[in-house]
Amino acid sequence: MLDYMEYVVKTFHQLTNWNPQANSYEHLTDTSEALLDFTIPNSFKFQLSNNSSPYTYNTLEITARQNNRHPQRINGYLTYLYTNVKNLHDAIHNSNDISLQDATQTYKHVQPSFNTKKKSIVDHEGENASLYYGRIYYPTSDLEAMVMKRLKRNSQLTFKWLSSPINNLNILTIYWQLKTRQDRNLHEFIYSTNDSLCGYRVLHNFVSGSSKFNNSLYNNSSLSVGGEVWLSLKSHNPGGSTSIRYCTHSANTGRPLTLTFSYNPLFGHISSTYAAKTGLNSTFCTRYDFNIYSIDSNLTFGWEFWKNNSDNSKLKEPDTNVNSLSGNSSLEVSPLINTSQQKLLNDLTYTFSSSLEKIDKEKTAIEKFQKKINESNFTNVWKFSTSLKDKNLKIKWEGKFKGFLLSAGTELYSTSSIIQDINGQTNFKHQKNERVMPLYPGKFGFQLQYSK
Amino acid sequence: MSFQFNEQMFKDNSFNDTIKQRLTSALNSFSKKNNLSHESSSSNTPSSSSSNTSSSSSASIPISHETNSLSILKSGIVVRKVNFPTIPQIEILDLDIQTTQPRSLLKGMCKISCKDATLQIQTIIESNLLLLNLEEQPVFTTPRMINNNSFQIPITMTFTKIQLEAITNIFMKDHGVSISFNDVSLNFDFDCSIKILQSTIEKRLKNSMKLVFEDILPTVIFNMSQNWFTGKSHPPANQKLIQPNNSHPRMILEESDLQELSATNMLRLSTIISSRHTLSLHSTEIHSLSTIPGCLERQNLYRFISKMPSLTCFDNCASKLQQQREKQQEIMERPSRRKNSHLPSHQINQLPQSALDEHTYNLETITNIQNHLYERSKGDHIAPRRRKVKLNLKKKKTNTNKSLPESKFTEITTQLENEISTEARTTPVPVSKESHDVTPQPDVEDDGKSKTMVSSRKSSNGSVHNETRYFKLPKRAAKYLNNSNNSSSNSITTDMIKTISPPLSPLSLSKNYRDYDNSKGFNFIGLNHHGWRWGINEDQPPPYS
Repeated sequence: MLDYMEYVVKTFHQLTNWNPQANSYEHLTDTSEALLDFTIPNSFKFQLSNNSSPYTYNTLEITARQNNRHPQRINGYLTYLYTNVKNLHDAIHNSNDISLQDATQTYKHVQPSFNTKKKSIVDHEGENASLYYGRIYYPTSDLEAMVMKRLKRNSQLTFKWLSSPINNLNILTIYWQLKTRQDRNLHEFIYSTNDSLCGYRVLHNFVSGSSKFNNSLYNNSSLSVGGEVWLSLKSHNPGGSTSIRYCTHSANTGRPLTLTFSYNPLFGHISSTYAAKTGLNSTFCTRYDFNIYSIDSNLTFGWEFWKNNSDNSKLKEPDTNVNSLSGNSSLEVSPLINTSQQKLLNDLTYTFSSSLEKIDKEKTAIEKFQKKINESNFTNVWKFSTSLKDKNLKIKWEGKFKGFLLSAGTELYSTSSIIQDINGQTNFKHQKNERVMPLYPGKFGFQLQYSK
Repeated sequence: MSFQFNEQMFKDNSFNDTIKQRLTSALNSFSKKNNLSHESSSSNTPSSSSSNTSSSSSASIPISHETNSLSILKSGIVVRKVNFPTIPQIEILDLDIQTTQPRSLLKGMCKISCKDATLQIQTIIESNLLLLNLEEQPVFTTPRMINNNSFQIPITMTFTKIQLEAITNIFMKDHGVSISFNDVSLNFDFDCSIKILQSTIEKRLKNSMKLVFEDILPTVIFNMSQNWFTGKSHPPANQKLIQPNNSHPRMILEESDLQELSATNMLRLSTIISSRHTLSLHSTEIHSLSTIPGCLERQNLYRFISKMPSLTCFDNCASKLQQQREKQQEIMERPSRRKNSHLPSHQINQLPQSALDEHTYNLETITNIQNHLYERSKGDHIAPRRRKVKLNLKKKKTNTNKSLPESKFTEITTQLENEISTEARTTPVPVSKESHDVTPQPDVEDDGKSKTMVSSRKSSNGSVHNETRYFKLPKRAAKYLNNSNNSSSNSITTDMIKTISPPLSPLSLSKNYRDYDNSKGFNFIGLNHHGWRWGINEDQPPPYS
C-alpha cells in the first residue's frame, strides 16, 4: 500500500512532468520490486490523511506494535506537506475514489515522455514547482524533512534531512537531477553526509523508433540503459551497477511485459527479471540472481491476483466479448488516443486495409487491454512471493472496503531456513515438528488507511 | 628474588596447541559479543595475548574491523595453524630492587624476542561493505541502489616469519605488574587469500599494532596480574603459559638468610649502594678516598682472596711461587690495615702435611702469616692473646692436630697452588709431585724470601709500598738475604709458632673459600653467590704488575 505522502509526491511529479518512474535509474527495477520484494506490515497501523487546503496535506499515523522487545508500544508520526503546484489537489483522490491500482505498488508500464521540438506550455508547467515536507515521530521526536525544488525546466534539487536526537543522527542527503538531450538522459548527483557517500547515476532512454524493435507502426516499446557509481569517502567502499530495461507488449495478446537485466561489476552480481501481465486479473514476475564469483544463485517468483467487483465486471463483459468477436473491425474508437491520430489511423486503415491488417490487430489488442485494465474497478488484490534460496512465502492482501484502504500480510519461513539464519547450525528443537508445521510465520501485520 | 622459566613447556610443541585453542576461543568471543569493549574482550584472552605477544597481533584484527562493522564476519574465526618453532628468548638487561619502600618495588628491563612463528586464520566475510554500511542506516536519507548485493567470501590470512623483538620495562609492586613496551619491532610476512585486501589489511594491522603494544597489552597484563596478586581467580591453565616477565617475581628470603644479615653489613651495603648512585668508579679502586673502609668491592675480590694469609698456603717448594707470595703479603697488608676487615670467624690455619714431612717450612714465613692474621683480626672484639700463650705443649698440640687431616690438606694445597700460580696450570697431582721434587732445591731461596717478608712487614707499618719498587724488590732481596742469617729467623720462629692456633678458629682457610662458593658467607656482596666463582675457580686473577 502506497503511503499517502508518497502518493502525493508521485502525483506531484506527474503533474510537473518529471516522471522519475520512467527516467530515473533509481526506479529501473520498480516493477519487479513491487511484485517480489513488497513490504509486509509488521504491526497494526492506522493512517489518517487529509487534504486540508489546496496546498497542504497532513497525515497522522498510529502504530501499535507488540513484540518481545517492546511490549505494547504505541508510536506514530505526524506529517505536513506543502506544495505550490496549484492543481495538485484536483489530481489527488481520497481513499474512496482512488483506484486500487494507483494506491498499490504494482506492475507499472513505463512510457518515457520525451520533450519534442515544440516548446509548448507543458514545458513550463513544472518550473518553480516546489514541495516541502516534514515529519515528526513520537515519542522519539525524530525529525524528517524534505525539500524538492525545480530549479529549471530540466533540473531539480532535493534535500532530505534526518535528525534523531536519541540515535544522535544528523544526516543530510542531496540529490541533484538534470535532464539533458531532450529529456532522454537523466543525470543524478547524490551526496550524503552519512559516511560521505557520493554517487552518480544516469539513465538513457532510447527513442522508440517506429520499426526498430517491432516491425509495426504502432510501437509501444521502450529501451533504457543506465548505470550508477557509488563511493563512500569515509570508509572507501565502492559500489556500482549497470542495467538495461526493455518494456514492450506481447504481439499476440497485447499484454505488457518488462525485462530488466542488471550487472554489478564489482561484486559480480547478475540479476535478470521478467514481469508480465499474464491476464486481466493476474501478473507474474520472476527474477533470477546469480553471482559469478561465489556461484550463488536465487530464483524468486511473484504473483498478483486482482479481483474486481462483480457488478463492474458484469457491465464490462459484453464489451470485451464484442471486441474479441469483431477483431477485424478497426473502427472502434479508443478514448485514450488523440482524435487526430485516431483519424489518421482510420484513414490509413481504409486505404491500406489489407496490408495494415496485422498492425491494426496489434494496436487494437494493446489498446483494448489497457482500456480494460483502466476501466476495471478492482476491489482487492492478493500478492504472493516466494524465494527458493530463502525458502519463504510472503502473502499480502490489499483492498478497499467502504472507503478504507486495507492491507494485511504475513511472511512464512521454512523452519529449516530460519535455523540456519539464526544459529548457523542444523540442530533445532523444532525440527521434530517439521512435519506438523513446515512453515513458521515470521511477520504479521495489518494496515488501515483513510484519506479525505 | 627469583623466578622460574619453565623451558620444558616450550620444548615440546604442546603449547602451540594451547595457543591455538585459546586464540580460537578468544577470537570467537569477539565476534559473538559485539558490544564488548576492547578491554573487557581482550581480557578474555589474557593467556593468548600474554603468552606470546605475537599472537596478540592476530587478536587485533577484529579490533580493527570492529570499528567498521561487526557484521562483516559471517562465521566464527578458525585458527588453522599455530607454530612457534623456537623458544621465545628473554634477556634480562637490568634488574633493580628498591627495598627502601615498605612494599618492595621491582624494576627491570627485559628483551623479548621470538622468531619464525607462523599463524593462520580463516573466516568468512561479507564482500560488499557498502551494503553493510547502508543496511543499518535510515531508509529515508539513504539513496536506493540497484543490484547492490553481496556474497560471502572465505578468507585465509597467513602470517609467516613473525619476528618480534621488544624491550620492555617492568615495574612490579605487590599489587600488580605494569609493563611498557618501549622498542617494539615486529615483522611478519602477510599473505591474504584475497589479494586486493592484502595491502590494506596489512597496513591496518601495522597501525593497530602500535595500539596493541602501547595500550592494550599493558592494560591486559596489569589487569591479569592484579587478579593474580589478589588471588581471586587462579585459572591453573593460565599459569602454564605465562612467561616469567609476566608472572610476578617473588623475593625469597629464607630464614637462614635472615640469620646472617648483620646490621653492620647492611649498613655497609647501603653505603655501597649510595656510592654507586653517584656513578663514580673510584669506589672500585683500592686506595682511593671513596673506598669504604672495610668494604671490599667485587672487582677487587680476587686480590683479596688470593692474598688471604694462611698456613695452608704455605708453600715451600717452588721458588717461582715466592714472588707471588711476596705480592700476596704486600697486598695482604692493605686489607689488614682496614679496621673492620671482615674475616670469617673460622679458619683452619695449619701447615700442610707435606711441608711438615719434608721440613720445607721456615719459621719466618709462618710468623709473618700469623702476624698478619692477627692484625687482620684486630677489629674484632677479641683480646690479643699472643703474649699470653706460653707453653710449648700447645705447639705440639697444634702440630698433632695438623697431622690428622693430612690427605685433605694436601688436596687443598694443590688446588690452591693451581689457583694462585699462573704457571702451574696442570692437574693437581703433578703439581704436588713437582712440589715434592723441587723442595730441596729452593731452600736457600726460601730463607731469603722469608726475609723479604719480614722487611715488607716492617715497612707496612709505615708507608705504603710502591708497587714498582716492590716489584724489583724480591730479586734483590733474595740475593741479599741469601747469605744472611738463618739462625735469627729460626729463633723468631719459636715465638711465632706459639701464635699459630688462636685467635684463629680451627677451620681451614681453604674451606673458607669453599664457603664462598656454597653459601652466603660474605653477606655484604651477597646478591648473587655465583659471582664468587669469578675470583676463585674460573678466572685467574690478572697478572699483577
